Amino acid sequence: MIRFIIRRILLLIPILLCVSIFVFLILRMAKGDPAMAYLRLSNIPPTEQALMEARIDLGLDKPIIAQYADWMGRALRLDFGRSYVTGKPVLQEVLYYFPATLRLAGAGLLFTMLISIPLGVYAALRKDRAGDHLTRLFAFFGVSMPSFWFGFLLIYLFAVKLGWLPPMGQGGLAHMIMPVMTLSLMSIAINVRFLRANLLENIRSRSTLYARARGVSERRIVWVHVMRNSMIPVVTAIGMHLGEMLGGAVFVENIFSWPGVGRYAVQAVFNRDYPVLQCFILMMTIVFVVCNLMIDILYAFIDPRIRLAGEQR
Amino acid sequence: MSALLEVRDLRVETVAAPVKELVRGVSFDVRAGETTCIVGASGSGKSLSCLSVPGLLPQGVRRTGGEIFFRGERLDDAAPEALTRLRGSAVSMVMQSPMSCFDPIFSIESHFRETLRAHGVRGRRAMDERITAALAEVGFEDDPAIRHAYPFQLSGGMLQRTMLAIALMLDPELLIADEATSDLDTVAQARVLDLIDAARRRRKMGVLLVTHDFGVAARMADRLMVMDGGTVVERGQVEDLFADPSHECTKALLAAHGKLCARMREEECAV
Amino acid sequence: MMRGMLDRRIVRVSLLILVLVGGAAFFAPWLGLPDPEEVNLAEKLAAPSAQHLLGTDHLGRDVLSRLIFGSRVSIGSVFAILLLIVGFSTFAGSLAGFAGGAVDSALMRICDIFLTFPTLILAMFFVGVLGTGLTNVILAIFLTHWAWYARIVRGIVLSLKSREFVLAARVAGTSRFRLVVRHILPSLAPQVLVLATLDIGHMMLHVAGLSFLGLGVQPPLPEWGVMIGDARQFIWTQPQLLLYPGLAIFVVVMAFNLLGDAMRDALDRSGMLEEAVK
Repeated sequence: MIRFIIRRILLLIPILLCVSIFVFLILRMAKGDPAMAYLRLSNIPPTEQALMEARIDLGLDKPIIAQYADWMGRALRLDFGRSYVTGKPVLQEVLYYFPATLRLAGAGLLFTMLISIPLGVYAALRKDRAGDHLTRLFAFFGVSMPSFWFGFLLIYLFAVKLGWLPPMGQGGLAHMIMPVMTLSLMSIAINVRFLRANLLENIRSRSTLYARARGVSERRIVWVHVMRNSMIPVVTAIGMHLGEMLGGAVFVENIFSWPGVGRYAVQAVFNRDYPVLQCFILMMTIVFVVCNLMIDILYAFIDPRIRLAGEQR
Repeated sequence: MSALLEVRDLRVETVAAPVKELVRGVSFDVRAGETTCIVGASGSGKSLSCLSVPGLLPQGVRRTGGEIFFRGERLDDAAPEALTRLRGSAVSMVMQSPMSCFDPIFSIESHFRETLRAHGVRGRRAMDERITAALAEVGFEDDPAIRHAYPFQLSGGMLQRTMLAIALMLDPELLIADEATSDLDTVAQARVLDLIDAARRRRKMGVLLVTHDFGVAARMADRLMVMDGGTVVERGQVEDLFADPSHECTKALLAAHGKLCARMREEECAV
Repeated sequence: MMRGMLDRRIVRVSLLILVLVGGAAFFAPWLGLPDPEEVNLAEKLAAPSAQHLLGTDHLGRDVLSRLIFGSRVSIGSVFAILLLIVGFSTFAGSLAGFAGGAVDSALMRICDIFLTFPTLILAMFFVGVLGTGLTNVILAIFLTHWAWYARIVRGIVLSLKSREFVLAARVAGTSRFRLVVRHILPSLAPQVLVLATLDIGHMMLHVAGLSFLGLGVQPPLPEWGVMIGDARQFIWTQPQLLLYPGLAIFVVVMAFNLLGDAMRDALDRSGMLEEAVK
């Protein structure tokens, strides 16, 4: 088990390395001359001479591997350069906005689990009855609805019409309700369907038949065996939901003027602010990869087939 | 003396349309201390016939007729709680593909304990005694670590013996073995069959064995019944059936068993 | 199999909706609609009338017309993306599954890299690098999604490779090309089709989403996501401007999802689905 954890953590290094190479290469393919941007930033007129000097300064004349090494070296020292727009150090700005996004994504994940698990169980136990049909209908709507539209519907209902909730900005619980609901809609819908399917499949499994043949009570079969077996894939799915949260946060921040890194990044896309973009994707991906790793480890804990793999008799 | 298990005119059909009758008026007995074998090809209705006894028909099928008597009492209309109490104790099962029967996230020991608890056995010591005895009976006396293993760590043969141990733990009067050896290699198969036979003799247990393999039937059965298309096409004592099969299906099944082919040719049975 | 699907009323309704929308999208220029891009500030934010069935937006453009012309962009771009993905991923995945060995490993490593990133973030990054605009959004979404499809195709090919009918054909000496075309593709095609149909809705949401953020379709081109973006400032005064395009997306995505679900069920029942696709 420990070996498994260590191995997965060590695997992080090549993964992140590949990620960084990928980001670096793609950025190199971007249009626009970094030397020009650099000069623009420093308010130096872009004469031929200045451009040439800038290119040497930026190391653009070196072979690409050396450029990557420089870039990587700077990144490891947490120097992601300066924004083309504001001129301020990128990492500083990104780290300023990041916590708000993490708060949103975390709350979204929590909300997703809190709502989807009971709903999924309810739908499976009430299979083919009214409760099941309603839940499945809701899940179907959730999967088909554009989340950003849903956000506006919520704002219209609760802020414009009813005036119960503030339509924008960061703050306490009241400010978080609508953004979190908007963010979680798709994930809740997917998770409900997924969990319901798992439960129904497990209820009809051979292992359930065998438990019945041993005289185990139906209650225990459903609430201990079926439930635990059905939850395990749900744990692995958390990783997928996290990806949705990180991406969806971009929309939610935009709609609700939530001061997170997503909103900042959209601006950077418009402005072709490459330093910001590169820091943004690297940060988000690192969070994503690390969280997935933690989920894998958790999964290994709860599923003995993974935990004890390789210990055949 | 009445039989331990008496099944009369059992009928099973599908629930959804188009309704198909899968078991059509099947009757058989199992006597204490004897093995009754139901032999047939896949789809002959043999598994459904035996699953009807403890009331474990799968979804999509239901029993529409017939009577089941266990120890002289009606079983087919018993209350669900009564049936649950019988399952695993008085009437227990070993099933095909043991790997898919055990819960993969529970240890072997949990399966034992769970079964014991379901039948009112409490206390660590009482449970441990039973578990150790059961494991010893199937040949695990020198490998107590089996208990802490998880199902995926054991081979098919070992799991099947474990399943047998759980089945014997609460002193059943009737053991139902539904294709219990179909997935095993010949050695493991022989071992499991030997264990079942020994348990039968020692405990005076009735055994209902379902199989598609005539070799297994030859080894185990006191009474034999051949099923095809939901009905019993031939029945009798083992020796008689082997010596003089009358139904086409029986002959086909016998012919499929290589070892017997030569003998049949000797006796010039027309196929 | 397809006939069985049509028996269900919900499938017929979905198909009807899609045919109507598709038809409207295709025949839009000939429907006698006002110019969706014509700005007419005098008539801005007008209520529904005979001339403007759904009213006008903040620049005086006819809403209904923009909705219908917008469908061309919304739906057309999704089909473009799907064509790219299905074409490329089927090729890549089949190559990996069929060739095996180093080719397989290399392709899978590449897929792994693409799959390490959260999807939307990667799409934004590509748009940032390539620039905004519809074509680039199409490319970006293609680049973010192809890897997932390629893996699934590879999985299907691998499981098909070891099926008896393929083994039998190989033993019989069928050439590799014939093997692929006659034996693998017929099993592969419907499954990929189901996957694609199920994904259309999801892709539409992405395209509309990126456009809503302003990263996709550029004004004055009409598109449903852009229309939502334009309308957001009027949520207090003219909320219906938000309602129409969102509803359009919702309904079309639902129809595609229903269709995809029905297709998957039909294939599932006929036993043609590999585990990976379920």
